Amino acid sequence: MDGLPEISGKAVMSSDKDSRCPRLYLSVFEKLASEREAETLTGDFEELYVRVENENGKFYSFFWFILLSISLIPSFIYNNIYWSSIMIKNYLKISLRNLKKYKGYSFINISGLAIGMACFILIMMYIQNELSWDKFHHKADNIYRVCNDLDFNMMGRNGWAVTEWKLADAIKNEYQEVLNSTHFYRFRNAIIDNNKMNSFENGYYADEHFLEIFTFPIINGDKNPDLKAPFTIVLSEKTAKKYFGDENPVGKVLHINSQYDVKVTGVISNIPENSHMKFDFLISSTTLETFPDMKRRLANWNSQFSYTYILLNDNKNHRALEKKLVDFVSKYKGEDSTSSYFLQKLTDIHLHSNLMADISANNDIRYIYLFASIGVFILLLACINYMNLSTARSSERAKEIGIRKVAGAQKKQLISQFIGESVIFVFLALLLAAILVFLFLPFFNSLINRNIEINIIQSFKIFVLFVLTLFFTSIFAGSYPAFYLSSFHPSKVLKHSSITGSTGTSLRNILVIFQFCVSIILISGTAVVFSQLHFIKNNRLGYNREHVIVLPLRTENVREGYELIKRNLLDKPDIKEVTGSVNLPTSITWRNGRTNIENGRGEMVEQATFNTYVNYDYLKVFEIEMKTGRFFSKDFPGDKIDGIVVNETLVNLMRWEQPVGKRIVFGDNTYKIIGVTGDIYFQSFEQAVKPLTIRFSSSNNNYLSARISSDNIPEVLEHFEKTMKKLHPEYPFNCYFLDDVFNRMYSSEHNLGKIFGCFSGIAIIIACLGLLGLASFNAARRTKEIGVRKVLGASIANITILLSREFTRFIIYANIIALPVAYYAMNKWLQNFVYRIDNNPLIFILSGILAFLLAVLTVSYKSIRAARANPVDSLRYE
Amino acid sequence: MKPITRKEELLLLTILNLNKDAYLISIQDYLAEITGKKVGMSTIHLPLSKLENRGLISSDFGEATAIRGGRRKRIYKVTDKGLKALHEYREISNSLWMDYLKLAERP
Repeated sequence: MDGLPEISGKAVMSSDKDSRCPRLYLSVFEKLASEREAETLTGDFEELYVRVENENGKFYSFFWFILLSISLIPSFIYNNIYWSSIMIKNYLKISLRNLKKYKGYSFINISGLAIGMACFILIMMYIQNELSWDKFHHKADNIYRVCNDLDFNMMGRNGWAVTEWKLADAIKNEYQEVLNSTHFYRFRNAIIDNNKMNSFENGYYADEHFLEIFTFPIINGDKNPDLKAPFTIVLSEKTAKKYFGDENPVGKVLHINSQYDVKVTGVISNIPENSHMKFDFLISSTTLETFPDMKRRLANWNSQFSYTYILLNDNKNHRALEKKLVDFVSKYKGEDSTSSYFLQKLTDIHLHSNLMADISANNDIRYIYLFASIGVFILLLACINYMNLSTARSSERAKEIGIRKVAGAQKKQLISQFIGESVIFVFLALLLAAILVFLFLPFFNSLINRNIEINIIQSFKIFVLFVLTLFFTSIFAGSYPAFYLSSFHPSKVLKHSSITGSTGTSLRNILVIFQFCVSIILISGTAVVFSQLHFIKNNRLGYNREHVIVLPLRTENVREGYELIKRNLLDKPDIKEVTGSVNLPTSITWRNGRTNIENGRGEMVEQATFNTYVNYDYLKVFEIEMKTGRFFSKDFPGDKIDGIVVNETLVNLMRWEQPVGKRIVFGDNTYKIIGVTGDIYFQSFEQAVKPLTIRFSSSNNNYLSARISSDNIPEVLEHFEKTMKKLHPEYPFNCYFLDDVFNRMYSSEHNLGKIFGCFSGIAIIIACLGLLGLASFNAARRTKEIGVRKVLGASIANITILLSREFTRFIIYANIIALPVAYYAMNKWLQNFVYRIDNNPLIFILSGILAFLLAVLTVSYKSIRAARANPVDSLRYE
Repeated sequence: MKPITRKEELLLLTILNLNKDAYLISIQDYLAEITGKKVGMSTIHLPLSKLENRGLISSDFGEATAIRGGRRKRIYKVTDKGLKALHEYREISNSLWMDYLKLAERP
């Protein structure tokens, strides 16, 4: 037996009244047996049955029938598998032959598909990474952060991530459902000294419950390192290695900020990348409580500066607990307090949190949805290419299909053949995609600033992802051509020597238009995102971020030496201005809800303000505009004591006509306004400017900032280092540029821009690849026609235009649909920013033109090639 | 070529002996007669399919009878390849027996 399955015909069935075999048994048997064997085997069965029933009766025969059917199952399975595999071998042969025969198309198809799949997989890996944030904590499901919903007079409600110090203990005592609570206070730029070296590190003052609630595995020291006693510290693996090398640091001593010593009680493994909390060390918070100047702040129910997390017994209780917290506020903050608390699930923080003073810059779940849709769309584009190319080339398969049908193939079989072909196809593309993913992962990682690795656990998930992609793509992309091809009429197909392939064109065209729509939307989206980012970056924001070097001053010593440092720095002419301040203009978060301010009528009213302290020359370093009055000046020694400067927003808010001289009272101190500055945007672009007061900082400057010239930057940095080494040799030298700090605030928008840019480029490449395939097929189909036209006198230009016209129409349609959609979508995104670019339609029109040009280039490349063919060659085949 | 098993040898010889009348039921009856044991449909059917797929036997449609409800029989025939395989089996059996008999003859 070789090749095709036997054609089974059925002999005429005589009536069943001659046999005594029940019809039911017969039909069951027939169904079980394979097509090939159905008739003969059932006949054998019937013959036997009569015998058995005669010998043993109906009852016995029934059981015999059941047992026989069951025992024959292995046989049926074997036959099924054998014949299916023969067919599959045939299908495989034909598919591979087809692939080899049309190498060009196959290559375009496979690579387009591979690129699409690779992009999809990379994006999915990124999304999976984002979704895994903070999930490594064992109790993550029940951990919540307590946040504040503070209402500042006239500043509107805002969620704040920071809460009062005493909240953690109080909430644990009050409510049974709170099993545990912890709080910590950020300790940034701490100088850690081990007598051999010192450096800046970032960490937290945390209480002993921190490691109970969160899962940070201990690698050195006992199960629960001591964070209860004051002056104890737990280090991260990285930090321990930095200061102690390979020695066991437990029990050793470190100096902090040259102020106090701490004893190491444990080492935890490095904080994973997907954690919203990132720290190098944890110092026991009881240490804080020993500092006399902190005592008041720690006890204050109106000072929010710590992060509070709770562990619930059951996360279903969180809503109920939130409601109970209303009473909590009345009890602890007074009946007339207008603040309220709300709970935030730990695992929601990274993607859903948009609070002020949050620990780290978070991402937005909407961007995740966006990236997921981009991934799906790119895969879709690739699948559409596959579908279009397969159906366009259907005329080549027409004869084969006709003959198969004549030989008895059913539609079901044809469909499975073609879907099988697409599985092979997609599988090959998937192999290529796997290679692409592997090759481009490092590039992708650098693009999004992440470290997505492929390790064993990941591999399994990725493998599942690959398999799913395989199935989805091959069935989705393969079904349309499968159904299309299997519906060919054998008579029509075999009579005419070729199908023109004009059937199904309309759907193909719609798909091409769809592809270009998506590409155009992506391109214009990218253009808008980039211009908004450019705007943010280059906008002056009320002050000049460029060429400003920042030097953090973290010890008493250094802060007291500020004046001397400043004088030394100014020796170098490239360092033009130097100032000191308590905050940097990029992040002023100190605020007071109840500043007393004199209004226009001379009455003192309460107004919420943000506050900061700066030194002389602040204006000059940051090039801030002065609107009225003057800044702190050495000519007016009183400025240091009771002078205060405010920004324009406060002036407008208070509706002052004459702001200079107005009183502002903080606690026991009264200040008089000496000047008004232009607004500086000291928060992110998504917030409107808040009212700001600026007082004089004499000796508590946390930062020294210097404006430098743009030449000789390395020399300047050297001078900085030399000066610090000379004046404060024990102080770890560290300085950075202000614009870097600023750019980090916008990292997620930056990522968005890069991803958008990259993938819209890929989308249009895929769309053009598809167009290339279609165009070349189109040209090939019409070689005779072109030959005839040339003979009749058409020029190359004429023919090129003729061939291209069809496709270029599509791009125009695509533009008409896509541009308004893109415009609307981008408008909505820009609403996120209080300060944004004008959504200029010009960007969109340019994107459309770009897409158009690319498409024209693609099509005309093929068309010109076809147009230049020698008519003698094309007309020779007859 | 892969050697045949005892069961397959039995089937092949049965088919040869039954000449042009070898279908599943007749094979079943003949074997029962020869070996004295009753053989079930399933015991034969799978090996028959395997033999056919290996090319040792071929099958064709036979006559339809009333007792089968008008369904045709599947008549099996041994192919040349099958015959060759049978001979090989016999040769191996023979050489083994001859060796044994020689051994048994020695004093």
